[in-house]
Amino acid sequence: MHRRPGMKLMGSAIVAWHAPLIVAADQVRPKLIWVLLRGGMDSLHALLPLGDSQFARQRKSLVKAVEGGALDISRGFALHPALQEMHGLYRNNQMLAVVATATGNRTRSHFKAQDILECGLPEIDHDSGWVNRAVDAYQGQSLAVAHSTSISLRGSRLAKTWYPDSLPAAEDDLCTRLALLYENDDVLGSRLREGLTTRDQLGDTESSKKAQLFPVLAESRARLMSQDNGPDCGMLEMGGWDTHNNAVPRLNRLFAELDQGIAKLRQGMGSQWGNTVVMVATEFGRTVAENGTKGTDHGTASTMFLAGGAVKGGQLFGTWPGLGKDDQCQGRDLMPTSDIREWKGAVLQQHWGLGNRELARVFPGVAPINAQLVNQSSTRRI
Amino acid sequence: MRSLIYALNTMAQRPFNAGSPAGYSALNGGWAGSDALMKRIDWVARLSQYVNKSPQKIVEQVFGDTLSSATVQSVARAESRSQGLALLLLSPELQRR
Repeated sequence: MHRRPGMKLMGSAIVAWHAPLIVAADQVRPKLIWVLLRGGMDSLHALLPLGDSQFARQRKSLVKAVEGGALDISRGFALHPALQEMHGLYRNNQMLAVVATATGNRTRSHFKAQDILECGLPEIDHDSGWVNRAVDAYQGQSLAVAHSTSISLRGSRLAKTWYPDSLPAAEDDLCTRLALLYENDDVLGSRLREGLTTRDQLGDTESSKKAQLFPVLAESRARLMSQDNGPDCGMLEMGGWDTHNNAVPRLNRLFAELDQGIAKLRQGMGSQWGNTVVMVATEFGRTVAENGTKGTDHGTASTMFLAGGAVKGGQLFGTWPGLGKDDQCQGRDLMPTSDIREWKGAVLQQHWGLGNRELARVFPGVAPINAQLVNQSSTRRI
Repeated sequence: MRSLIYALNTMAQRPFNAGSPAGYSALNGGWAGSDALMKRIDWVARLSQYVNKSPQKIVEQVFGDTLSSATVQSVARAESRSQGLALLLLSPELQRR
């Protein structure tokens, strides 16, 4: 592909960050992949509490659309039909979910909530991300990759960023919002409509263009991380989750894309999958009840998923608060029953062997939860 | 801040001002207009991943009151900062500067 100066600038935006290498070539390195879903992923539609009698009543059309094909988990929960890879991993004890968890601070703003999740400190510090602090505390070969310098990776050391060469199409959600913005502009509005129609019509021939972004990034991330002396830590992001309207078809597509990305991670990590933990979380969940536009609005508690060969999977964690009006948070949301940092801390403790003092630097004031989330192994501290 | 926006906007224009028959502005007629716009959208979407500034701050500090309320609201309601920045750069006002 012909490289223009602008592309070269971004294509080579590599910033390095690593600690001294003290590794034996044959040592198994515990890998951590942080996947941030931006927009407030509707966890109640990802992991459906079908066993809760209040659920279907408050989400009639959303539940009706998927309950037939939902994939059984346990405790009355089932996965969205599109999450086939995730379900397979659960059955193979390589995936677990934590229900009804949330960050320590409440806000309904995407920007603020994402900052809170990425920073992980009691007060937002835009220059200090939890991943950076974790990698700092982890005394191994700490190298992290991401495709942007989002807060999670900011801190005392630089982050390595990398982006694939091809230019996948912009997310559908951006185009939908642009259509709204161009409503009163005849020229731009018709150009956009024409452009989107053409893309839809081209279908297969342009499939590489319309190729979904997340699986492409996941594949690249895994390829990089699974190399000899590859990074121990990587970050991936996926947007489009803000499903205020038309949630059913949008989430069908989004969950399929997320699921394919997880599959790409497993395939890409190859033999390293056995010592990998993928952590999937979103800044907040969504309202319990459907709204008037076939979607849901910004909520509070959500579900966090862990996937990977190193995960002690096949389990559901978290206390389920119930969905009755009195059980809801502010009368509209799923009530959080834990701080998400407790679970992240436990992963760092069990997967990277961080001690209590080090964990206190990553998540001050939050103790790791006492639950076995990662398989015990002798290859911890490098 | 202004120079950042100018630079970003110029970069967003780059694939289309190549001086070749493929370089049509998004405001021209016919298929070339819509194709150019879609390419610009893809380009800006990717570009926006690399900028860490808050799009709302950019709106305040660079544009003040000169943007439409539709654009300002769109940026504020974006589901992420990079999407907010993409919406700003692709807004009708900036497409016509």
